[in-house]
Amino acid sequence: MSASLPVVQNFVHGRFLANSTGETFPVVNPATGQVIYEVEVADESVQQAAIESARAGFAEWSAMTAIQRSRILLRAVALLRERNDELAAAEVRDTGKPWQEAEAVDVVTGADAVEFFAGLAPSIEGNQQDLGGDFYYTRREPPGHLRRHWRLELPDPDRLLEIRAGPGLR
Amino acid sequence: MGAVKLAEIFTEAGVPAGVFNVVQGAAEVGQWLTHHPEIAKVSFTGEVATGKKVMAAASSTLKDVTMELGGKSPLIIFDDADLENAISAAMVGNFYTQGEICTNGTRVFVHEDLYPRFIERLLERTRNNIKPGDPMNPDTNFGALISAKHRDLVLDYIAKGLSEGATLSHGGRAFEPEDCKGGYFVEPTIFNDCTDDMTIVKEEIFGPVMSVLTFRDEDEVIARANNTDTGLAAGVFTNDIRRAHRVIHQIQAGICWINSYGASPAEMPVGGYKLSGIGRENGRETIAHYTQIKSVYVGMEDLDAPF
Repeated sequence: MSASLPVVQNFVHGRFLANSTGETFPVVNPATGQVIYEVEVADESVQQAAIESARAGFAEWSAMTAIQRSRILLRAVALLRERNDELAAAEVRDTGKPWQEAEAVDVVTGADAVEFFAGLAPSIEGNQQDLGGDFYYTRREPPGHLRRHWRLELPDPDRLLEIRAGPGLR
Repeated sequence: MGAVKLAEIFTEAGVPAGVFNVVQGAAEVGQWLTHHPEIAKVSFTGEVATGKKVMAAASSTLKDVTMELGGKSPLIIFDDADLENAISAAMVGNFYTQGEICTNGTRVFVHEDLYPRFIERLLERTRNNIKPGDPMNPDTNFGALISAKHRDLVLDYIAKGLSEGATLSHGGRAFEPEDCKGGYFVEPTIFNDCTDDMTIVKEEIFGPVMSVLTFRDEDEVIARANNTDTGLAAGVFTNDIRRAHRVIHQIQAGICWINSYGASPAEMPVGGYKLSGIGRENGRETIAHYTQIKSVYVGMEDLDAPF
């Protein structure tokens, strides 16, 4: 194990969470072939914590109104735009793609996507129909725990994550 | 690292803990995600083969799945197309992000009357305007492939292109830019004189390898464009408005461009036909895929019962 390389842990329940096995996998900068940091694998303890965390987070997020969720997402949009370059640089090191692309597109369109969904959230609605006496209405409810996409060697994971995160976070 | 940085930003913005977690790993973590009974939905982006496994695994707990998988998308360029823009589309649709984009227009069908001017100008722009190098250099517009394994896969496809008789008119090799050693770079590669049965024309390469083919008739090119198991994206270049819509309406693909290529704004729902995926992301369509409907029937009168 390399003592000098940074280690990125899993992120569970609002903070970084160490695994119990210490198992990691290396991340290579494709432009140089060099290992630039290591990532901790989500072992059983992290997996279990993630499920419990998601359960709790889901309850809290679902209890908010759409407009409250929208405001939080818009704060995230502002932070993404503020930190554009820092995030773009991380993307370039992870994927080997040109700075030109990462700086102008990846974070920008990711933020645009979150912004779009922030606007869409308050429009989620059901319908109602009169059946002559009785009537029915529909509710649009979240499907329970939503699992994010699972990435396999994708060139722009950050942007894709934002696209996935946006709809799930509405 | 982007995923955890995003998690930090969401947390700082006020997203409650647990709403956005990042769990990292390979196949075992993926399998846990797709099998766990408490997880209600999986959204996956990747290869067709893996997508089938994800869907099969999700079936064990009847999870809802949306998937965005691969493609071998056609870019059809008619003889009245705006030449410079059509070439821009072909280049962006094959060389942007080193060709590692699922919607890439990797089968470039050029009308035989336009072909000589097209190929000459395409090669000129490819030779002069592509600047590979250290990705952190702001002048670099062409970077490295994601891994050594992927670079080797792309090189294997290039070798097949050669052995099956396509003409290599640009690139084809791994290389090292002056300012960047040790990376997984492959030259922007153009094959022409391709035929529909070549491996490079049939299989997704996910690298900077363009296959150029020619056609004569509209019906012919539509049939050839559709002759694939995938159906992610497609592009048509023509200034004839009726032809543009008529052709694109017959292409079996979900993400289509007319006189453009690649733009995917959040407003526009996207997803594939056939083996390219299930469901749609972005646009108002997203609501349908990320919520479930509960119907509530309200009895305002006595219940009809025979008992």
